[in-house]
Amino acid sequence: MDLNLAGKTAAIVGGATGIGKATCQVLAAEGCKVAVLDKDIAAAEAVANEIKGKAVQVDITSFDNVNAAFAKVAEDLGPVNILVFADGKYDTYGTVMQTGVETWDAEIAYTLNGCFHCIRAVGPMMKANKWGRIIVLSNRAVSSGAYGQSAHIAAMGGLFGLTKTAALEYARANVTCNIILPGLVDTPSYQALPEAVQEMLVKKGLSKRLQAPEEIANSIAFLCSDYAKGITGAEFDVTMGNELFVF
Amino acid sequence: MDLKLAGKTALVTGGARGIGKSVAECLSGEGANVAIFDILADAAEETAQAIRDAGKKSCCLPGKLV
Repeated sequence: MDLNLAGKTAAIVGGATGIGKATCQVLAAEGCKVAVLDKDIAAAEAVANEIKGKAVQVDITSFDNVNAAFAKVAEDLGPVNILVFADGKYDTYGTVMQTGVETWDAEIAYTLNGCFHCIRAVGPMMKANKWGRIIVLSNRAVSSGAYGQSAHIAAMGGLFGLTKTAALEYARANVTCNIILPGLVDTPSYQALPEAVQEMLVKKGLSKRLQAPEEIANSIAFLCSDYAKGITGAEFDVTMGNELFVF
Repeated sequence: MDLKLAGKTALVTGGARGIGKSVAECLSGEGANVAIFDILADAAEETAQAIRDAGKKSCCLPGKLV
């Protein structure tokens, strides 16, 4: 199946590691011109070199910075056709009562505001082109809650509302916006968890295994294609059924 | 993107026409062998024949699901 993505400009936010990195690789293999956007420019450059893409440093907490980063992408690779938001903070663990206001604010400022800045910045380019794809990575636990991750899951829940609203508002411009809910994926943020927690999470799941980042990236690539033009405002559980009832 | 469906056998119920027919054609295009199961025997055979004419494997299974 030819996804017809050759020549499209794809900007992957959080593209230096994990699912974002795998998405850069998969979309580059499909012929996209890929911009690897990340706060860690050295890691972004490593990915960009590998796929002959372009690395751009970005501080997603600043709208001006995001706007400038996407303008740079547009200048070098052409207007952004595809935005994949694969970023988030993964160091704000704590129950509601353990979470300080500063920690909370930092998570929201990074993940939720960051995603808004990105969607806001690419909107005019996609609308002008009458074609666009926005894929946002959220979390399956937004509907169930996740013990000790109040700030992170709250931000991830915010991404839901934001993406669905963008889907409504951009639909007439032929811009689709969808949400991917990954499962337990072998990424640096997973590897950073304490070993006991990793073990518990794998055991708890239905499949008893970790997913490779490419598994998520392939779903993203499909949503970017014209085959998925009828899909917008939807969320996709790519957890291998990990959240289904098991006994 | 290679969906790696070559050589897989797909059974498409209601595959004679409409969305089912499109599903059968799409899977066939990806290299799958397609069995068309439908109550509309003539239309099912027509769809299967068209797939065979395109050089792919397909057969027709007229029948009721209930």
